[in-house]
Amino acid sequence: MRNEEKYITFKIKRRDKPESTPYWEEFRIPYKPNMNVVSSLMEIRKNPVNASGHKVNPVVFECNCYEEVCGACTMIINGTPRQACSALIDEIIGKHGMERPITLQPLTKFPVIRDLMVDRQIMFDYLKKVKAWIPVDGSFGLGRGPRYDERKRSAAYQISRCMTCGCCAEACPSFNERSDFMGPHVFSQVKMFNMHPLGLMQKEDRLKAIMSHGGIQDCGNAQNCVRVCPKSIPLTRSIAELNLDVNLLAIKRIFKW
Amino acid sequence: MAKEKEHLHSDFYIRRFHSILGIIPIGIFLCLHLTLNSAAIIGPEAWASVINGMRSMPFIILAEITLIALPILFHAIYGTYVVYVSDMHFLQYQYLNNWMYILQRVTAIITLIFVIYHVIFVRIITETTMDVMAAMANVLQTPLGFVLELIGVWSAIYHFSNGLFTFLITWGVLHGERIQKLFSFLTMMLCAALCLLSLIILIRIAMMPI
Amino acid sequence: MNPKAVVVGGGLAGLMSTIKLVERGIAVDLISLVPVKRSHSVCAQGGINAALNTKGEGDSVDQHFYDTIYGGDFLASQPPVRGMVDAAPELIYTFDRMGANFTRTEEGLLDLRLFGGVKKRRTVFAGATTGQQLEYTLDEQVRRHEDSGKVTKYEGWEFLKAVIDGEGVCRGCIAQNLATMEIRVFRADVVIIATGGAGVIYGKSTNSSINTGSAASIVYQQGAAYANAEFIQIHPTAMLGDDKTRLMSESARGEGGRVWTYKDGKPWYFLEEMYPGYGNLVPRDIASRAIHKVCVEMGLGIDGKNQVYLDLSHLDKDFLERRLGGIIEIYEKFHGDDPKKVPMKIYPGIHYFMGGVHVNWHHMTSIPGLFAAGECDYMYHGANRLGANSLLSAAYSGTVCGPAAADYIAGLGKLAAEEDGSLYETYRQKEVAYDDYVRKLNGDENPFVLHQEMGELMTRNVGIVRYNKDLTAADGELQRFMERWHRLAMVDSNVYSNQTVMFVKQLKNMMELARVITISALNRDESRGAHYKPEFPERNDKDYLKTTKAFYTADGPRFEWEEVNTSLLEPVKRTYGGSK
Repeated sequence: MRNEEKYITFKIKRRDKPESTPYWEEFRIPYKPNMNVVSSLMEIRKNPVNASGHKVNPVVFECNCYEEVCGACTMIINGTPRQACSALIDEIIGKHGMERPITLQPLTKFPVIRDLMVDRQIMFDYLKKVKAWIPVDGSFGLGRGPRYDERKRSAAYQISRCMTCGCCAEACPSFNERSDFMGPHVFSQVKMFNMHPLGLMQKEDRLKAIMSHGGIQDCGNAQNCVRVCPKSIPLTRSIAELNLDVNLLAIKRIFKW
Repeated sequence: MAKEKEHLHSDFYIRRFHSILGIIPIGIFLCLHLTLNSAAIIGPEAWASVINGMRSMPFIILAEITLIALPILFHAIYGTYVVYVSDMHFLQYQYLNNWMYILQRVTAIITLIFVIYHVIFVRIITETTMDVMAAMANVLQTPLGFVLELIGVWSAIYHFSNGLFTFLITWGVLHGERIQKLFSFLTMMLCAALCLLSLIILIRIAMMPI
Repeated sequence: MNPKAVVVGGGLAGLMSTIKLVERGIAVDLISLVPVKRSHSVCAQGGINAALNTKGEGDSVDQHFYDTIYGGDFLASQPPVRGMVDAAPELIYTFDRMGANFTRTEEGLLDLRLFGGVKKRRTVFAGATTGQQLEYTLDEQVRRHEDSGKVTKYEGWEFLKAVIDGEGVCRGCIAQNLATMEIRVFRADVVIIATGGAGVIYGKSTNSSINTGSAASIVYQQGAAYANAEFIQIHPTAMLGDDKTRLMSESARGEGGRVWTYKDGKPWYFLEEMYPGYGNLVPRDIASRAIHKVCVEMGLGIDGKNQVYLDLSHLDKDFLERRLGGIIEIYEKFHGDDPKKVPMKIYPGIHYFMGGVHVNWHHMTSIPGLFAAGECDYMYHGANRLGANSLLSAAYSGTVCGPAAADYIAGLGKLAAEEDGSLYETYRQKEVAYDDYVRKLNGDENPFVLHQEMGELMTRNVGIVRYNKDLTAADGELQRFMERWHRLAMVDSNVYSNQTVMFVKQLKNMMELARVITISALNRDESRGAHYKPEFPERNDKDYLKTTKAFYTADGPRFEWEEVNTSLLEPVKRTYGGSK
């Protein structure tokens, strides 16, 4: 049997430019097996007609690698922040059925550029603030790097897969326009650099950075971050472990221990 | 690099101070308060003697102001700011911890209102211990009064119990997911126990002859 | 006046060039289509080669050199390849010091894994997300330089043109903001193009959506030579998909994965049977052709479709999770099945451009002041790239290109900052006018549909197996596409963040490059590495041990042949059959 008569519906929150008012628009596209949200948006682009049959501008969205390693295509799909490329249509309609429209919205915690595209620059800025790097003497050869315990290394590896996609920040109730909270991803990065045999040397600098305005103290333990992280990064564990580090440092600083 | 200023950001220390005050002394006071008031279960006389005993202690006013009133004031004012900067994601994220987080903030506001009412009611408009007991019983004998009192007390208890759980995370004691789950369960058990205790106390007061 | 460099592209090559320039005291404007952390380098999975010889197997830099040249079917110019393999171990150690998360041994040293086309463990890796880890490592270093004001990032900008002065020297570039659509001038003393491959020309490939080859095509159209365009690696093991073919790393086979299909009702491990010496780890061109043969010629694909099994299910689950977790997760997420339990279904997919902008050994193109590095240059892989040599060439080319660009600046008489503005303004206005032309296209064809057609044409006619008649037909069709391009409909009327405008411009550039690929393939009547013509099944060193060089003219590409430097290794016949 052919699937010609089957259609899936998308309900997409659109916006023409940053300052204009958002509106919802529906699109219907023919169903094919193995589709995902990105391939569906690409389909819409090939024939940009909305569900009422009017020609409209194609939906603007960010996407890059299509395999959930770049983080670009993050959006809110049926209420959950996730990557559109790995949001398989078969899975979604398996759960909600064919009839219910799939809703797509841009992330709400970042400025919208257009349609589903947002500007996540602030996440990178916070990485700067906490010095999320190892300050090597230079990129020239200086011989073998340090030895690194494989067990620790593989714990750090889990964190190192953070794509700065913004899911954690989107789901975090403390990350919003009223607060300058840096967002959950930052703390795991700090944890990771503080674990590295060389990064360990600047441990205190990074801890001081996360004790500054908008730092670790603003975490309210809602723990949504760890649930929505597409890479299962132990975000809350990093925060908890760093809590001990910053408290000890605070005592040390107050009492000049 | 070397010239970078040593600068203590106040945010971190204020928030940590807020956290510690919630347990010491406020949490301890709450437990003590419930324990002392459980004398009401025995009867009005036992309850009166416990409260009179407390009130007759030397420098009690000074202790009440420095160990109870000021910490609560600070915790409440800063806490209100914390609630203000928190988003409430009610429907989107149906995770237990998220609900606990929301409830922590909701109970914060309820507790704040309740505590203001409670202090005015038992320390300002009523004079003697007997007055307080009579007034309390009076309120609790109306269904609405009972329910409101119960909501106030239970909010305070939940806020304390869940606060104890997050306190243990904030102070770097609980790291992994499993140990956090265990302590989340234990503190909720504590919450249930205190809620039950407070329910019995309130029922007993409501049953007291005026 | 201070010198300035523009680096276009934030992948490994661009970031490494940036770091090297900064260390030489030169301020860098880094232009990238996407936040640099999202560059396509993150998609590389398996690893990066360096003859560390830490497994007691007697591996050596000489052997790495030999395998690379031999694997590339002797088309690579040998001295630069020698430079690359010599530098590889120290380069890995540098990454390690910067915090790249390489998988370790029990002793805490860098672990090594086996890869295709070699017999010794030489591939340093970070699980199955090595590219991501290396990219992030350099991203962090560049962020550090950005923090201290030495690098200015322009993320969400697209390169439109190099600015070339009356003497033919590159003096900067024009770029466009993808959100505001502003077109502006970037004055610079050098411009480095590090914009990766062009898989998007083929519609579906293992590449990211940004890999249109647009920037490389632009500089080609401005006079830079484009070399060896016909050599495009087709990765043997990719997942079939609606939107792209997702890479299943060669490390799957390196760690023991086996490729098979059913023959006479029984599993047939055809690679092991055809190539007993290397088995499943024959180089990619050979594996791809074997799979193509089994499916298309013999009709033995799984379920009658063009697909075979890549099987990991016989390997230990913990081992798989630790060594290949990244790709197992991708397959599971996108296909639903768990590769630890059931074999993966795969088919070859367009993967890597061995060819690219022609550069000298210092990575300067034929336009002075314009450099190219990474996949968009042509230098290190000859006719076929060995697995795990791409991260190496990307990073290494940056370490050559950056300092060479700094040296070039030191020899300049006059800096771009001192140049008067009219040159730049002329260039900018041309781009504004072109942008206006594209916006006003009001034909009846959807640009995304035309792109799909082009992708299908290229995959069909200029793919694994090439026939001259198909290539000729493809070139004719491409010329018709270029006419149809003028009849496109501008389907997006919004003035802000108009992705369609940008795509239509890219599409034009892709078409120019597609013609170069097709005619280059047509011109080379032999089979070498990834370029395979059944009508000419043998390698022909007498006529074609030469680099193809294409130059843009208004009437289509003009070609020259350039001698290959084989001063270090005498070409021999390339075969992976026997047991070695």
